[in-house]
Amino acid sequence: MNKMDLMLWRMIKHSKAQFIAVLVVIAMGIALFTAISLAGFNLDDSKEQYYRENAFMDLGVSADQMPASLIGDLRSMPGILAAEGRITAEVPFIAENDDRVNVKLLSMPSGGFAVNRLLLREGRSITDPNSEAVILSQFADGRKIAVGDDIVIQVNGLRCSLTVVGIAYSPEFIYLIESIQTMMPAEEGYGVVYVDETLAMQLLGMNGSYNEVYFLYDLDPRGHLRAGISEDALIDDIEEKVKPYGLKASVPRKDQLSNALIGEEIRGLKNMGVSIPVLFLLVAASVIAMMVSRMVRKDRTKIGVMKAIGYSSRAVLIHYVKYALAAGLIGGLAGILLGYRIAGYMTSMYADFFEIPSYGMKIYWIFIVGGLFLSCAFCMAFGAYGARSSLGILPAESMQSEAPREGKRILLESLPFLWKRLRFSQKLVTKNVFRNKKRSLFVLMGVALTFGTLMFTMTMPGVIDEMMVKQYEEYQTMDYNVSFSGPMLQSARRDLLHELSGPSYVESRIEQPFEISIGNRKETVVVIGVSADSKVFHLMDRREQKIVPRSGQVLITENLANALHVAPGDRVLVKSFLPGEAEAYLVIQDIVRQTMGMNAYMDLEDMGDRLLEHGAINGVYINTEDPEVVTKLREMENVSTVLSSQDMKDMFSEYTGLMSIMIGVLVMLSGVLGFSIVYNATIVSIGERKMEFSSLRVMGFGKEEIFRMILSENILISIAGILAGLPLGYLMTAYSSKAFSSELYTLYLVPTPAAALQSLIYTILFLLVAQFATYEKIRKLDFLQALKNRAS
Amino acid sequence: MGIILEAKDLKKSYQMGEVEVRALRGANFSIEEGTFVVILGPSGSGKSTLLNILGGMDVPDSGDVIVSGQSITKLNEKELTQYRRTKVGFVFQFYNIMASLTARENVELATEIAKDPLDIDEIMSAVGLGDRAEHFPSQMSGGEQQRVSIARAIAKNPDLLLCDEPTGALDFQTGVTILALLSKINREMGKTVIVITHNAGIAHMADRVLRMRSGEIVEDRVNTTPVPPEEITW
Repeated sequence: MNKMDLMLWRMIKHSKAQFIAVLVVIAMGIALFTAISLAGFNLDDSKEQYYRENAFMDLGVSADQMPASLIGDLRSMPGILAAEGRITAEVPFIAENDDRVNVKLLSMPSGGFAVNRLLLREGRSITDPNSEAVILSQFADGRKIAVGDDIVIQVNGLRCSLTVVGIAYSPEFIYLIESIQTMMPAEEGYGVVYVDETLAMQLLGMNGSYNEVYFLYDLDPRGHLRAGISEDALIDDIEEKVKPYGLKASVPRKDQLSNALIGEEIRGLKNMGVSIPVLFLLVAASVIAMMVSRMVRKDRTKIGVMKAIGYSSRAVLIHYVKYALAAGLIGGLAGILLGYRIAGYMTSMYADFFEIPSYGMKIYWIFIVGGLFLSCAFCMAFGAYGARSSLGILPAESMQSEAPREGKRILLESLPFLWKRLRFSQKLVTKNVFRNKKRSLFVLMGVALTFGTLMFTMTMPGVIDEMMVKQYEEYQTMDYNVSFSGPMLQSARRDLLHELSGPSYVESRIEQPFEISIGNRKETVVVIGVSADSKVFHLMDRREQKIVPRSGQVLITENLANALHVAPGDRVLVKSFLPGEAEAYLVIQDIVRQTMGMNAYMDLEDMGDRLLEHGAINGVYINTEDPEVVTKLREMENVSTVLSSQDMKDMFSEYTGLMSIMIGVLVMLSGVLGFSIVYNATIVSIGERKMEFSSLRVMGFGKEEIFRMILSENILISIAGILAGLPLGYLMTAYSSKAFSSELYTLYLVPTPAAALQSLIYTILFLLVAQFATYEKIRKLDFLQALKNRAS
Repeated sequence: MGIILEAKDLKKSYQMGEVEVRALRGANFSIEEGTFVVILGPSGSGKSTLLNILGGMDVPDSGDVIVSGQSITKLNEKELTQYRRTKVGFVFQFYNIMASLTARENVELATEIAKDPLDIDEIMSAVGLGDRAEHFPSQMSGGEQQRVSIARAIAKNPDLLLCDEPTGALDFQTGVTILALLSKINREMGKTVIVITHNAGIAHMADRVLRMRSGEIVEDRVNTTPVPPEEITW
């Protein structure tokens, strides 16, 4: 080892607490980067492999009734590898206690599926078509149904008892939810029941015909259609053929609900894999830059001597950059090892949650090498930035003691009414703070970064609750959202109200999926028709002012506006999937605040007139105290689904378990980060002031007196730091709001007073520990040694 | 003996706060190879500025310095670094050795970048630190630390040894031993030694004495009867 490196090594050994504090921050950043990225990519891999092995659909088309001959025609189209018809219906599942939930009844060809194949977890496939069923794994677990159990479903008013012979996974229902409005999967609240095709046809009166067809494309290895046509053109051709049979919707793989949702999760995970670690690395690198810069200042004479001996400025700069590089390298390696372990846990946790079979953990060298490169690059760049002043140190000047700084009055002294009120010791403290601006700024930045980072992290746990509260207590206040099986007259609302006992409120609504487009950008979303005097929808604009949809116009959510790149005043085309339905050009009235889902809103009457039928509705919102409401609704013939707000909230709470692990880790990391910054800032500052403290001791100041003085200085700087940390926290939060928002939910992260208070408490705690370290240093200070020692 | 160093009309001013200090006002002299030179002067006479310029640590406003036939005043930073690395060795008043390196390692710090370094063990013995080589500066006395500083300066095998108040931080007895060591290096190794000091007593051991006042050489005399360091007092 050359002597420069030996000096470096001993320098690190000498200040190991500080070095370790920096290492921890870097390791945390890199661990997060490695863990989240590896988990994201492994999850993506597992999903893709699962899809490949089980022939996950490329396209799904639904229609009223398609004959078997049409399916044969579709199968022979160029570009199509397989096409399979099936029959599906939402039917009630009746539990032993007469509890009812909806299940999706799906027909299965006798030889098993060719598209969306099932992966049997236990049991076997159907052999007796009349009395056997296979059920989806999540539902079996949620309802504790085992192979051999009998289940009861109700089809067209008739109860049908089936024996469960198999429990299976399906690539189609990785993320199983009833509708986009439900958002969160609830295992016991919704399920899928597979029965033999002949039984399904018989039960649903679909003799020889299907209401859904699923396709696999004939693709080349690069993922392009072999037929040489685009997917859009192929879909157009298929829709053309299906139209005469009552085309309802065509859903390509990317828009398939389960796939889209899991894709969002993975996208979110991958985004987080970049944004949060980068934040950590930036903070760690800033700490390194600050430390190296102070080190160079302290080592001024040493640098001069090295240059006098014959070392070049570059060699000196490299010496300090190596310190940063060492931190980056060791911290990076530790982070990768830790991250790899965490990635394993995270992947299996997510795979469990989504019920994707585990395919083992694959090592992506790109993230291992990338993580190390990232950590080294950040540290070197910031280390070089911190050490840049070493280039300008002239050997001759550095040998002489620094000329005393120009003595100037501080700003406060020009405010005599304030200055005169201060005691002498207070004046001394204030002057010290303002005269050593760089040093004060160093500590101030440390405190600001700590407070800002904590505030951002403390805001996170409240987010999910906040989303729920906003959505279900401020924006929407209905207890139940009821869908009819088809469009009905407004009178259906009155009929339903009559059925309910106790104080009840029923409001008409339309909810229907439409394609909204502008230019070549389009999104399919549920458009909601709301009464002008709605008591359950409280639409708010971006300034949280109440807003009512106007006739001929449409309100859209912020994430939809972002996806379509539109602003109020733009004209969009709203087009139905239903054949023969009208389409309408509408002006965007305004952007509405909504935390969950991507929607558009119209005036109820106007929507009926333009997009459905005059005076038609397809559901109602209910607020009621009737305890029997769900049973009553489920028994009504024209009611297809009943969603309760409470159910949705409960489901959400379950889901937060997964999120809270992530948030817990983040909170812990911010704590470590905060402490590391404050500790480093304080220790470096004390190191520089040894001579000053020694001189004070010689003059007759006691250790406690010196400590009190330093404490007062630090308190003053910390208050300023916390004040500076407030806007910093807001900025960090705004950045994360953007990073985490998706098509499915929009985050409006605003630090709450509670988050600010928590951050304050933690920051003060860290500051106190750092002050304790300060006191220890002052207590142990050998002032005579410090004064006479002139070794560099 | 040839001329190793020649200073021609050196001028240097610098700004100290609002005052312009004219540190050198036209210094002229030349030094022969292998001599022991003492530059004498009170504080503020410009001797440190002169030493810094001779050592390639600073550049004059005008004038020239020629070392072994080569002008060093026109050298760029890289060339000056090379000059300091090969031609000169510095000894500072406050030793300025690296606290985190042992005595031996401090010397090695210099030999690692030298073209033709001397044997470290021989140097350590020559400066009387053969048995203290593995000690850290904090375990050494001021005199020992200054010996390390001298060992570090000569280990590179430079032509010129520039010493800035080498005894300034030491007691009399220790100061004398350091001067004896410098004298030995001059005599036995044939190195040209330039010592700057305000201590007139040291001038008695020099072959040549340059006296400075207000940035000028006011006296340049050859000492025909230098006394051994052990015999001088101050």
